[in-house]
Amino acid sequence: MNKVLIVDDSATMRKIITRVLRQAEIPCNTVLEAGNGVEGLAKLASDPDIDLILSDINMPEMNGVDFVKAVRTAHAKEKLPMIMVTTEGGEAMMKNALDLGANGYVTKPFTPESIRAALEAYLG
Amino acid sequence: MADAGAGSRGLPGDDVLHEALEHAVAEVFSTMVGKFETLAVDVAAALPARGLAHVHFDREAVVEFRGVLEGHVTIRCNADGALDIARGLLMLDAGDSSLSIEEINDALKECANMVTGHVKTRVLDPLGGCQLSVPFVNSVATSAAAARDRMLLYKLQQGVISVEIWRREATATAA
Repeated sequence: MNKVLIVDDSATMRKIITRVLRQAEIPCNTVLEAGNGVEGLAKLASDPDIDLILSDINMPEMNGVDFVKAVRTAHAKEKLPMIMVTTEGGEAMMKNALDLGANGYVTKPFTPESIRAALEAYLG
Repeated sequence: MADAGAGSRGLPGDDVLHEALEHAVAEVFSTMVGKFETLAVDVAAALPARGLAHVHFDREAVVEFRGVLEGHVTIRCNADGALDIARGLLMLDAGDSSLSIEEINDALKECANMVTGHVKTRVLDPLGGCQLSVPFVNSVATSAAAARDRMLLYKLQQGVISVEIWRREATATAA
Protein backbone atom coordinates (compact mmCIF):
# COMPACT_ATOMS: atom_id res chain seq x y z
CA MET A 1 0.00 0.00 0.00
CA ASN A 2 1.20 3.48 -0.81
CA LYS A 3 1.21 6.92 0.74
CA VAL A 4 0.68 9.90 -1.58
CA LEU A 5 1.19 13.60 -0.83
CA ILE A 6 -0.89 16.12 -2.83
CA VAL A 7 0.48 19.68 -2.85
CA ASP A 8 -1.91 22.25 -4.32
CA ASP A 9 -3.24 25.58 -3.08
CA SER A 10 -6.71 24.73 -4.39
CA ALA A 11 -8.74 22.68 -1.94
CA THR A 12 -10.96 21.72 -4.87
CA MET A 13 -8.05 20.28 -6.82
CA ARG A 14 -6.83 18.35 -3.77
CA LYS A 15 -10.31 16.86 -3.41
CA ILE A 16 -10.52 15.98 -7.10
CA ILE A 17 -7.19 14.19 -7.06
CA THR A 18 -8.05 12.45 -3.80
CA ARG A 19 -11.29 11.17 -5.34
CA VAL A 20 -9.41 9.91 -8.39
CA LEU A 21 -6.92 8.13 -6.16
CA ARG A 22 -9.68 6.57 -4.08
CA GLN A 23 -11.45 5.35 -7.21
CA ALA A 24 -8.32 4.18 -8.98
CA GLU A 25 -7.54 0.52 -8.97
CA ILE A 26 -4.08 1.05 -7.59
CA PRO A 27 -2.95 0.35 -4.03
CA CYS A 28 -3.09 3.68 -2.22
CA ASN A 29 -4.21 3.73 1.37
CA THR A 30 -3.10 7.12 2.62
CA VAL A 31 -3.48 10.54 1.01
CA LEU A 32 -1.87 13.56 2.66
CA GLU A 33 -2.51 17.16 1.62
CA ALA A 34 -0.53 20.41 1.67
CA GLY A 35 -1.48 23.87 0.40
CA ASN A 36 1.95 24.94 -0.89
CA GLY A 37 5.59 23.92 -1.06
CA VAL A 38 6.39 25.02 2.48
CA GLU A 39 3.57 22.91 3.88
CA GLY A 40 4.64 20.09 1.60
CA LEU A 41 8.16 20.08 3.01
CA ALA A 42 6.75 20.05 6.54
CA LYS A 43 4.57 17.04 5.70
CA LEU A 44 7.56 15.29 4.19
CA ALA A 45 9.66 15.98 7.29
CA SER A 46 6.99 14.67 9.65
CA ASP A 47 6.09 11.68 7.47
CA PRO A 48 9.17 10.32 5.68
CA ASP A 49 7.33 7.25 4.40
CA ILE A 50 5.60 9.14 1.60
CA ASP A 51 5.89 7.15 -1.64
CA LEU A 52 4.92 9.73 -4.26
CA ILE A 53 4.22 13.46 -4.55
CA LEU A 54 1.70 15.13 -6.86
CA SER A 55 2.36 18.86 -6.95
CA ASP A 56 0.93 21.98 -8.53
CA ILE A 57 3.37 24.59 -9.86
CA ASN A 58 1.59 27.94 -9.42
CA MET A 59 1.24 28.22 -5.64
CA PRO A 60 1.79 30.98 -3.04
CA GLU A 61 4.58 30.86 -0.43
CA MET A 62 6.68 28.31 -2.33
CA ASN A 63 5.86 27.36 -5.90
CA GLY A 64 6.15 23.89 -7.37
CA VAL A 65 9.49 24.45 -9.08
CA ASP A 66 11.14 25.60 -5.83
CA PHE A 67 9.41 22.73 -4.05
CA VAL A 68 10.95 20.18 -6.44
CA LYS A 69 14.34 21.77 -5.93
CA ALA A 70 14.00 21.60 -2.14
CA VAL A 71 12.75 18.02 -2.11
CA ARG A 72 15.60 16.84 -4.30
CA THR A 73 18.22 18.08 -1.84
CA ALA A 74 17.22 15.19 0.44
CA HIS A 75 15.26 12.70 -1.67
CA ALA A 76 16.57 11.06 -4.82
CA LYS A 77 14.44 11.00 -7.95
CA GLU A 78 14.40 7.21 -7.95
CA LYS A 79 13.31 6.96 -4.30
CA LEU A 80 10.57 9.57 -4.24
CA PRO A 81 8.77 10.21 -7.55
CA MET A 82 7.30 13.69 -8.10
CA ILE A 83 4.59 14.35 -10.67
CA MET A 84 3.62 17.91 -11.47
CA VAL A 85 -0.12 18.53 -11.94
CA THR A 86 -0.59 21.99 -13.31
CA THR A 87 -2.23 24.36 -15.74
CA GLU A 88 1.23 25.65 -16.54
CA GLY A 89 1.55 23.70 -19.74
CA GLY A 90 4.31 25.87 -21.12
CA GLU A 91 7.34 23.92 -22.25
CA ALA A 92 9.83 26.13 -20.42
CA MET A 93 8.11 25.70 -17.07
CA MET A 94 7.82 21.95 -17.47
CA LYS A 95 11.40 21.60 -18.65
CA ASN A 96 12.54 23.56 -15.62
CA ALA A 97 10.62 21.28 -13.25
CA LEU A 98 11.89 18.15 -14.99
CA ASP A 99 15.48 19.42 -15.01
CA LEU A 100 15.24 20.02 -11.27
CA GLY A 101 14.08 16.49 -10.59
CA ALA A 102 10.38 16.07 -11.30
CA ASN A 103 9.68 12.65 -12.78
CA GLY A 104 6.74 13.63 -14.98
CA TYR A 105 3.71 15.85 -15.31
CA VAL A 106 -0.01 15.91 -15.95
CA THR A 107 -1.65 19.00 -17.40
CA LYS A 108 -4.98 20.36 -16.15
CA PRO A 109 -7.65 19.77 -17.25
CA PHE A 110 -7.03 16.07 -16.83
CA THR A 111 -9.05 12.90 -16.98
CA PRO A 112 -8.99 10.39 -14.11
CA GLU A 113 -7.28 8.01 -16.54
CA SER A 114 -4.33 10.36 -17.06
CA ILE A 115 -3.77 10.60 -13.29
CA ARG A 116 -4.05 6.83 -12.95
CA ALA A 117 -1.57 6.27 -15.76
CA ALA A 118 0.96 8.61 -14.18
CA LEU A 119 0.58 6.93 -10.80
CA GLU A 120 0.76 3.41 -12.15
CA ALA A 121 4.09 4.25 -13.73
CA TYR A 122 5.64 4.96 -10.34
CA LEU A 123 3.65 3.15 -7.66
CA GLY A 124 4.02 -0.52 -7.04
CA MET B 1 -11.85 43.97 -25.02
CA ALA B 2 -10.14 46.98 -26.52
CA ASP B 3 -7.57 47.84 -29.12
CA ALA B 4 -8.65 45.93 -32.18
CA GLY B 5 -5.43 46.95 -33.91
CA ALA B 6 -3.24 44.87 -31.62
CA GLY B 7 -2.89 42.18 -34.24
CA SER B 8 -1.18 44.54 -36.63
CA ARG B 9 1.58 45.07 -34.01
CA GLY B 10 2.33 41.37 -33.66
CA LEU B 11 0.06 40.89 -30.67
CA PRO B 12 -2.97 38.64 -30.80
CA GLY B 13 -6.10 40.48 -31.76
CA ASP B 14 -9.53 40.14 -30.25
CA ASP B 15 -10.49 37.30 -32.56
CA VAL B 16 -7.45 35.23 -31.57
CA LEU B 17 -8.02 35.78 -27.84
CA HIS B 18 -11.69 35.03 -28.17
CA GLU B 19 -11.05 31.85 -30.12
CA ALA B 20 -8.49 30.70 -27.54
CA LEU B 21 -10.98 31.38 -24.76
CA GLU B 22 -13.70 29.42 -26.50
CA HIS B 23 -11.30 26.52 -27.04
CA ALA B 24 -10.19 26.66 -23.39
CA VAL B 25 -13.76 26.53 -22.10
CA ALA B 26 -14.56 23.58 -24.34
CA GLU B 27 -11.45 21.72 -23.20
CA VAL B 28 -11.91 22.33 -19.47
CA PHE B 29 -15.64 21.76 -19.37
CA SER B 30 -15.70 18.67 -21.56
CA THR B 31 -12.86 17.09 -19.59
CA MET B 32 -13.68 17.99 -16.01
CA VAL B 33 -17.00 19.77 -15.54
CA GLY B 34 -19.47 17.83 -17.62
CA LYS B 35 -22.47 18.72 -19.73
CA PHE B 36 -22.40 22.17 -21.26
CA GLU B 37 -24.14 23.82 -24.16
CA THR B 38 -22.90 26.86 -26.00
CA LEU B 39 -25.73 29.37 -25.97
CA ALA B 40 -24.11 32.30 -27.65
CA VAL B 41 -20.89 33.86 -28.77
CA ASP B 42 -22.70 37.06 -29.69
CA VAL B 43 -24.76 37.64 -26.60
CA ALA B 44 -26.29 40.98 -27.45
CA ALA B 45 -27.88 39.51 -30.52
CA ALA B 46 -28.77 36.16 -29.03
CA LEU B 47 -30.23 36.96 -25.63
CA PRO B 48 -33.69 38.13 -26.64
CA ALA B 49 -34.04 35.32 -29.14
CA ARG B 50 -33.04 32.70 -26.56
CA GLY B 51 -35.22 34.15 -23.79
CA LEU B 52 -32.18 34.69 -21.60
CA ALA B 53 -32.39 38.39 -20.89
CA HIS B 54 -33.70 37.62 -17.40
CA VAL B 55 -30.63 35.60 -16.33
CA HIS B 56 -28.82 37.24 -13.42
CA PHE B 57 -25.30 36.64 -12.16
CA ASP B 58 -24.34 37.07 -8.51
CA ARG B 59 -20.66 36.15 -8.49
CA GLU B 60 -17.58 36.12 -10.67
CA ALA B 61 -14.27 34.30 -10.56
CA VAL B 62 -11.33 36.25 -11.96
CA VAL B 63 -7.77 35.37 -12.95
CA GLU B 64 -5.50 38.20 -14.03
CA PHE B 65 -2.65 37.76 -16.51
CA ARG B 66 0.43 39.92 -16.78
CA GLY B 67 3.07 40.00 -19.48
CA VAL B 68 3.22 41.54 -22.93
CA LEU B 69 -0.55 41.58 -22.68
CA GLU B 70 -2.31 42.29 -19.41
CA GLY B 71 -5.89 41.63 -18.57
CA HIS B 72 -8.13 39.09 -16.98
CA VAL B 73 -10.46 36.18 -17.62
CA THR B 74 -13.79 36.28 -15.81
CA ILE B 75 -16.41 33.60 -15.28
CA ARG B 76 -19.74 34.99 -14.12
CA CYS B 77 -22.60 32.87 -12.86
CA ASN B 78 -25.48 32.57 -10.49
CA ALA B 79 -25.80 30.06 -7.65
CA ASP B 80 -27.02 27.29 -9.95
CA GLY B 81 -24.18 27.79 -12.39
CA ALA B 82 -21.57 27.81 -9.62
CA LEU B 83 -23.08 24.66 -8.15
CA ASP B 84 -23.02 22.95 -11.54
CA ILE B 85 -19.31 23.70 -11.87
CA ALA B 86 -18.52 22.54 -8.34
CA ARG B 87 -20.48 19.30 -8.68
CA GLY B 88 -18.89 18.61 -12.04
CA LEU B 89 -15.33 19.18 -10.90
CA LEU B 90 -15.81 17.19 -7.71
CA MET B 91 -17.59 14.37 -9.54
CA LEU B 92 -20.74 14.66 -7.42
CA ASP B 93 -24.28 13.71 -8.41
CA ALA B 94 -26.53 16.42 -9.80
CA GLY B 95 -28.69 16.29 -6.67
CA ASP B 96 -25.82 16.56 -4.19
CA SER B 97 -26.39 19.50 -1.82
CA SER B 98 -23.58 18.87 0.62
CA LEU B 99 -21.24 21.58 -0.63
CA SER B 100 -20.56 24.72 1.39
CA ILE B 101 -20.36 28.19 -0.19
CA GLU B 102 -16.60 28.11 0.36
CA GLU B 103 -16.30 24.80 -1.50
CA ILE B 104 -18.45 26.07 -4.36
CA ASN B 105 -16.49 29.30 -4.72
CA ASP B 106 -13.18 27.44 -4.51
CA ALA B 107 -14.32 25.20 -7.35
CA LEU B 108 -15.32 28.26 -9.36
CA LYS B 109 -11.85 29.72 -8.81
CA GLU B 110 -10.19 26.48 -9.91
CA CYS B 111 -12.32 26.42 -13.03
CA ALA B 112 -11.29 30.00 -13.89
CA ASN B 113 -7.68 29.05 -13.19
CA MET B 114 -7.76 26.14 -15.61
CA VAL B 115 -9.50 28.13 -18.35
CA THR B 116 -7.00 30.98 -18.03
CA GLY B 117 -4.09 28.57 -17.88
CA HIS B 118 -5.23 27.04 -21.13
CA VAL B 119 -5.43 30.47 -22.79
CA LYS B 120 -1.99 31.26 -21.39
CA THR B 121 -0.46 28.16 -22.90
CA ARG B 122 -2.05 28.65 -26.30
CA VAL B 123 -1.77 32.39 -26.80
CA LEU B 124 -0.08 34.34 -24.00
CA ASP B 125 3.06 32.30 -23.24
CA PRO B 126 4.37 32.39 -26.82
CA LEU B 127 4.52 36.19 -26.53
CA GLY B 128 7.00 36.01 -23.65
CA GLY B 129 6.80 35.65 -19.90
CA CYS B 130 3.22 35.58 -18.71
CA GLN B 131 2.24 35.38 -15.05
CA LEU B 132 -1.19 34.43 -13.74
CA SER B 133 -2.64 35.76 -10.51
CA VAL B 134 -4.14 33.58 -7.84
CA PRO B 135 -7.85 33.32 -8.75
CA PHE B 136 -10.35 35.27 -6.67
CA VAL B 137 -14.14 35.53 -6.41
CA ASN B 138 -16.17 38.77 -6.26
CA SER B 139 -19.83 39.27 -5.50
CA VAL B 140 -21.57 41.03 -8.37
CA ALA B 141 -25.10 41.95 -9.31
CA THR B 142 -25.51 41.99 -13.05
CA SER B 143 -27.59 40.37 -15.70
CA ALA B 144 -26.90 38.67 -18.96
CA ALA B 145 -28.87 41.46 -20.57
CA ALA B 146 -26.06 43.85 -19.66
CA ALA B 147 -23.58 41.73 -21.56
CA ARG B 148 -21.28 43.17 -24.11
CA ASP B 149 -20.91 41.69 -27.54
CA ARG B 150 -19.06 38.42 -27.89
CA MET B 151 -19.23 37.33 -24.29
CA LEU B 152 -19.38 33.54 -24.27
CA LEU B 153 -22.54 32.19 -22.71
CA TYR B 154 -23.10 28.57 -21.69
CA LYS B 155 -25.93 26.52 -20.25
CA LEU B 156 -24.81 23.90 -17.75
CA GLN B 157 -26.99 21.33 -15.97
CA GLN B 158 -29.16 23.92 -14.26
CA GLY B 159 -27.37 27.24 -14.42
CA VAL B 160 -26.05 29.68 -16.98
CA ILE B 161 -22.53 31.12 -16.97
CA SER B 162 -20.66 33.70 -18.99
CA VAL B 163 -16.96 33.68 -19.79
CA GLU B 164 -15.08 36.78 -20.89
CA ILE B 165 -11.52 37.85 -21.61
CA TRP B 166 -10.53 41.47 -21.10
CA ARG B 167 -7.16 42.83 -22.00
CA ARG B 168 -5.10 45.95 -21.98
CA GLU B 169 -1.58 46.37 -23.28
CA ALA B 170 1.16 46.30 -20.65
CA THR B 171 2.45 49.76 -19.80
CA ALA B 172 5.92 48.70 -18.65
CA THR B 173 8.50 47.93 -21.33
CA ALA B 174 11.85 46.21 -21.09
CA ALA B 175 14.94 48.42 -21.16
